[in-house]
Amino acid sequence: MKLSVFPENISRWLSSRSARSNQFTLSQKNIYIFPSKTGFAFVLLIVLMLLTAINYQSSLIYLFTFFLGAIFFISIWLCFLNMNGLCVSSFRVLECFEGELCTYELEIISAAKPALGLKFGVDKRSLNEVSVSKDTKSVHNILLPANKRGLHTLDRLRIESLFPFGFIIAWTWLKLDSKVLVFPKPVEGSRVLDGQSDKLKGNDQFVSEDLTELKAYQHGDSALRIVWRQLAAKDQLIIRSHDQGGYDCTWLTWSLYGTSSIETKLQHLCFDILDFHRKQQVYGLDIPGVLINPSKGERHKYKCLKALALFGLSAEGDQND
Amino acid sequence: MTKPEGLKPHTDFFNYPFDVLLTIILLQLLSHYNHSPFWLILFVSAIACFGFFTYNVVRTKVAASIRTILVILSVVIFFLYYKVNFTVDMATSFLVLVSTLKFLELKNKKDVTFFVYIMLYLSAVSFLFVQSFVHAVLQLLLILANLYVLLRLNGGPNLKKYQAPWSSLFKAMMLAGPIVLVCFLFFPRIAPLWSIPIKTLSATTGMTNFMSPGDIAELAQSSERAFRATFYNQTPEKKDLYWRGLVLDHFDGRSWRSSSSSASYEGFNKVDLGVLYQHGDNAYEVMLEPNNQAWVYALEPSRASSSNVLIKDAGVFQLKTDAIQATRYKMTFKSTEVNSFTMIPAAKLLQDNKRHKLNNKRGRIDLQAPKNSNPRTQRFVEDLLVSFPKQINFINHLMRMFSEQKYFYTLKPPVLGDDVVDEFLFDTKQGFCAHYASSLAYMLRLAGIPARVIAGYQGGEYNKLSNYFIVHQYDAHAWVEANLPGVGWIRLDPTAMVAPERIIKGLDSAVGEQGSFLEGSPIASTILKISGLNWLRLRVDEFNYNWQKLVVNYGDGEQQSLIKRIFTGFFPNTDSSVRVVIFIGGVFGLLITAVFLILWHKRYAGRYSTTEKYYMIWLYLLTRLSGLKRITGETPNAFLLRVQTSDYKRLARVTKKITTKLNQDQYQI
Repeated sequence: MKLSVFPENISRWLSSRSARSNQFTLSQKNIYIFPSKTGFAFVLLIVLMLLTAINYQSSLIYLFTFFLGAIFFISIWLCFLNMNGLCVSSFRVLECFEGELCTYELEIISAAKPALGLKFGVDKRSLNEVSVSKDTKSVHNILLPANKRGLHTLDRLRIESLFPFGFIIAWTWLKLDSKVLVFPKPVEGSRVLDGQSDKLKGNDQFVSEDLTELKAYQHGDSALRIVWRQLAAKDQLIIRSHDQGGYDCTWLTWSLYGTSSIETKLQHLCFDILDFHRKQQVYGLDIPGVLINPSKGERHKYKCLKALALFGLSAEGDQND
Repeated sequence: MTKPEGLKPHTDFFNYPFDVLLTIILLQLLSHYNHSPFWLILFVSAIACFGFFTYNVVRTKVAASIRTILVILSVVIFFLYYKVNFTVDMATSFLVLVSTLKFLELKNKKDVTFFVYIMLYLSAVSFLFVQSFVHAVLQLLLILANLYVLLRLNGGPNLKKYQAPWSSLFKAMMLAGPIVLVCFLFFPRIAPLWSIPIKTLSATTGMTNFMSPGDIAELAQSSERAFRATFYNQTPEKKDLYWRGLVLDHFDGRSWRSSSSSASYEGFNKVDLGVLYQHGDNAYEVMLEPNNQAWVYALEPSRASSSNVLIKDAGVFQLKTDAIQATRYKMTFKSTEVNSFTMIPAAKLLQDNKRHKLNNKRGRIDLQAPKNSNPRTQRFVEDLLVSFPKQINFINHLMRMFSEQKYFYTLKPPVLGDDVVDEFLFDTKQGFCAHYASSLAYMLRLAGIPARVIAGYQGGEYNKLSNYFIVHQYDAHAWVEANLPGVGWIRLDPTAMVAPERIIKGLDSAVGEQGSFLEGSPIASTILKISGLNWLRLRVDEFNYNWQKLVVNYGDGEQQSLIKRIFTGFFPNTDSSVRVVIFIGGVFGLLITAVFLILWHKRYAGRYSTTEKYYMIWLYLLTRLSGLKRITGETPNAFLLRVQTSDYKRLARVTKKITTKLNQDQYQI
């Protein structure tokens, strides 16, 4: 926060106004409103017309000028009403790889009237323009390039609207808790140690275990593998994880990638995880501070990639830019 | 961080409502049609259509080379046509031209917005030239179209799908109504900040300060309105309505003109605007149609009672500025007693004779008569003077001559040669009012009687529906004023001798049999003949008159008299400037109060029920009355007990009632 220039109470007030939240309802508390550049040009036009009316003493030009002036003032109100009552929220965390475009998701629930000409984005220069009908829920994406791995929170989200006539701009800055998990960029690297030795190392752990491993049902496991007898006896969902493909298992460790930098190692690890996942192989992750037992499947891949993404970072993630 | 390319559809621009923009340009041209040259209208329409075709059909922008060629071409033609003399017409035409060229240069949203602004300004400017109600409606539609374009630019994608643009346009219009009304009525009318010479190229209409025989006959072919006049108290008879416009006092043997000296001002009168718009004695007001001239048409004897009128000598008036738009002025008709002057037929003594008093300089002017033409007339006057040495008899004889000899009143007099008076008086004997007035004034001057020709209007069509006169161009008239020593100025109307029905009933009945009345405008003359259509015409005229009075001519005076009328109830005896300040303050005060009330209501709406509010109000009153104050946290019942034990028995009874009601409503006890 660059608010340190303000006295403490003001900065406390500012941060309380701009607290992060999952959901915002736009109201007079967070909608700012001001004439736009074209609005100022319009005011200039009205002044010019008024001068014409005064100098030529033309009653009808007065009337015309007042009409446009009234339209200007009413458009302040219409502009505010257009955005007032909109509910902006974000709950889902999407993920992507470093170097790609990541998607922040936001959900807009409109009030009992349509909201037109809404533009949203983090940067004033690149805003998406949408209109939403009344009483609808719509999902909109903000695409931003992911330059760094980690858990990124959307920077201040700007929603603005020039509706109805472009004289007035209404805008809001929301500190929306919209998050994206950015995994390291998958880069193929050569492993220093032979994969075989890792496999042996992996075998050690699995030797002691039974041929058909039983384990607790987890969300996402196939219903075909449920041991129904166990369910009847113990009232527990147990599944058979028999199709391990032998004990063929790989530990992905830090030392595997030699002396390259941490980021490079993470990129290689990422590549390998994706590679193993594609080949349906069992793998485990062992990097400083994180140990994930060998397994496979979508959830396992996600767990491993998340560990890579957050490696060395606090779980909250830092802000995007 | 930049947004990647390709996400924003690049076709946005071509989806802008160019059809509406084209309509706006064409309608705008229609409203500037009257004062723009025809080539400009054609040229600009062609450019606009070309632009529309390029944007909407070909879906591309106009090439820079084409634009450059068009700009150079149009600027060259423009300056060849207008040269460099600056007039309002020229400036407006230039604006029309430039804005249409701008139409070819649209590249993005900003350009389109700018273009819309120019169009709005053009709409405003058009009111300098036309102020009719129909035109105002057209301009209102144009505002709507312009606002619609702005909506399309700012309303996001697929705007047409939603109902909102229409509802917000409608909402904006409805809400604008009261604001516009208040601003229009009460916004202070300021005097011009700097003077801009209003020069227009559009021809002046109506009278000119130059009259050859036959000029007025031409004017009399037109059924256009010259002005309307309302009398507040007594309405004079039609035959007495001699609207004096200008004094033509210089004769060159053929035509009469205003000499430069007659343009001298006596000054202008200061009029209390507050008093002005109260309907005084015998006041009448005239609403001049825009004619680009400054003549004031007034009855004799009149006093100017509006500040836009200057007083000139010879009892005529002039407007401070040319009537480029409908102009209203007010006069007081000071008819004290009927000055009958029966010695000469069709003559009337001017009542305000002091104003017409002859000084030496004026006397010389009013006796000027060229001797190098019209020899027969000169001889005729010399001979006549021998028979009638007395001036009254001389005039009497001349006037009778017009009715007794075979003079003929016609709109189509034969063309005259060099000695116009000679030929008219002794050969053709057919003429319109200008012929009679011109020859009579000339003969009087030859006889040494100061005389002058007065050009103006006579009569008018009486609109019974709302009691006013419509004076048309065909009511144009010319007559003579002569000065008799010992008597003063008298009005002599030779036309009344030749064709008395012209004065009593109007031109229609005077020349109706000849079939030459409104020959050039068959539609107008047909409408006059069919009674239903004529009724409708008078209704429409009445509406237009009210439009001009209430809207077009709403100015400083009307505003002050309105404020005064509203005020006299509240603050009698206040100064007018203080009045204005209090009034504006009051209006803003009311507005601010209303806003706060609405905000307050919104804030507390639904928080407290009605009974709670009453209870709270009662608590406040109770504290003021008795000093008993409910402690925070004290229940209503406990507080009631405390009140009941206090000395205020009567207050306790009320408190009990309210508390019971509160308990019933809130807690169903």
